[in-house]
Amino acid sequence: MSQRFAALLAVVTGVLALRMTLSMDFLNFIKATMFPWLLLSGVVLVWLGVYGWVRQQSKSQGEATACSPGHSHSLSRAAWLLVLPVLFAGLLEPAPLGSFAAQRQTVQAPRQFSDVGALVESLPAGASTVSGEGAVSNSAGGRQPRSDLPRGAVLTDGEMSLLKFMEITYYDESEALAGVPIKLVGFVVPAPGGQGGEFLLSRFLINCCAADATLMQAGVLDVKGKLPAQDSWVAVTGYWDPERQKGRRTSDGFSIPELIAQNVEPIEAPQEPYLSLADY
Amino acid sequence: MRVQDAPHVEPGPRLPKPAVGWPELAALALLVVVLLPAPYKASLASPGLRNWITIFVAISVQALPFLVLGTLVSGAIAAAVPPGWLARHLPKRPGLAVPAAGLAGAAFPGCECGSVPIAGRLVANGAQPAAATAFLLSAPAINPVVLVSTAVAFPGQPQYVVARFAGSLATAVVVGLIWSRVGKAAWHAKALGRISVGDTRWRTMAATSLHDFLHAGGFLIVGAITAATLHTVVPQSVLSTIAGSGLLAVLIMALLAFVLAICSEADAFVAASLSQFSPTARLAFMVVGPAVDVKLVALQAGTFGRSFATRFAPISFVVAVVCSLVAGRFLL
Repeated sequence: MSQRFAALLAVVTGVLALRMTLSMDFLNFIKATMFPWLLLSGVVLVWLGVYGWVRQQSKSQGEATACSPGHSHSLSRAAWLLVLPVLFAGLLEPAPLGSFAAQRQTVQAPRQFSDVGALVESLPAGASTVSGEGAVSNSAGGRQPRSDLPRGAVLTDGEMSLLKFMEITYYDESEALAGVPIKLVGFVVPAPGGQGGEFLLSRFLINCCAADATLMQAGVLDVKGKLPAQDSWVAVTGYWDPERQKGRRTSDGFSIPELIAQNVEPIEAPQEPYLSLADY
Repeated sequence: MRVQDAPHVEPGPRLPKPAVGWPELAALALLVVVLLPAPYKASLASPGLRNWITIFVAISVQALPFLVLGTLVSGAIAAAVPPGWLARHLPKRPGLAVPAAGLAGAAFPGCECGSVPIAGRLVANGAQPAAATAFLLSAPAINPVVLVSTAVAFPGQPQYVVARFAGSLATAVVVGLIWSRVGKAAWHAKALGRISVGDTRWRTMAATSLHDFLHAGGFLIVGAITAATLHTVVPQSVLSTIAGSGLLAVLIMALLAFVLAICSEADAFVAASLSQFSPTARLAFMVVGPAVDVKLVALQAGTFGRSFATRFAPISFVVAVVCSLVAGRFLL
């Protein structure tokens, strides 16, 4: 490979990192906290590449290159491959992981990161539980409303992170969440077996990049009307009914929590499609 | 970042005009590809291809900061440490140099992509290959960032952090000591040929960093292609249904770590989520992953040469599995 092209390839790779970071496109496959590091590496690569190219230009009067001749040959073949991410990311806009990856993972029991007891106490008071047809009574109905704890610990505008929903339904033995109206956001994976009125609301948790994605999932039952399209993003409002957990059991006896749907609303895919531990 | 703007900082003898040939035109075409909106959407591709593209781009781009950090350190070593200095000042006896280098790995806060160019530079600058390999194995596994993320992934179970530290450090030291006995100079010939000398320290650092980035970056792409393909072809659910304990589960998790090539700062979270496996099996996932995986083998082959990688990878794998078994038995 020409040493000049090699240096310019570092510039192009740096520009790719800058573009993905500044446009926030990197959130489709990398966690948000990598932002400053990606930006910094882009700047360093552009600088190193421009500097290297300028030196090659000033050396082009017959002076030897920095590398020994035998070595520059092996550099040539490997470095060419850096063209690939540029082409893939530049020509095809990478999409976030979707139902293809979800269907190839088994949902595991959530790990406990929060004080679940404190979390359920911060839920809206029992008065707001769903009443009416198909609803269940709050099994912890005698709870005193707690106004001193931030509700945001569990619900933001009535929305709960899929992670917290899995964690509370799995660990809270008082089943205090039963009947509480909840909004969950995720993408649509068809239910296995193709039962009517059901789908799997899904989201991936990442800790670095899409290669370490872990699947989070909740079953959505009693969907009225047409099921939303596979891989589309929806906000589901509904409530949890522990009695109706039909048990989609995974190998370790864990069953995916289910939400009885009252309303399924199509939404735009969020800019940050992945969950992170901050959502626990 | 327009390449045409660059020549005014040129330090050498003035050229009337920079040479513009195919390299400049090709790079300009690539810049256009990067800066214009993508003409095709990957979501229109088949689901498998779409998945492959996401994982491939994710691994390639996510590794950039770590690779750049590693190549900058490598460049700084080339610029600041005179050739031969390391050989004179590091302990001569492997029994001392290898554990010291293994412990020194705890000070480098990066993933495995960054430690390979540094280890290559250490060898090129005259460090004992055995000590450099101990650093290569320990740096991505026992640095503070990795240990903290392990503690976060296993809340309330600090024994996993202790076991990981012990297992990985033991792997690094044992492999280093084995390498000091069986390693042959010819296997690192590629690394030894890498000394590049610039006229000033800054130039040496910039030239070395650029060179190492391009070189390691190319091989990182080989690793990213392999890992993305395995992610797409091998469903994780198949592997995770062969749950269990005992030696088989440990071997399965070790193989999974080799195949998935997850960054060492994130692998603890994946290990923690595979809760149907025994603690020792999950430990093996975290000890084997940073030591040897498809991405690392590609990087090592590129940095040290193929004859290095084909010997070093199997040794690391076996030693890492054995160290996990021992650490798991006594600490978990």
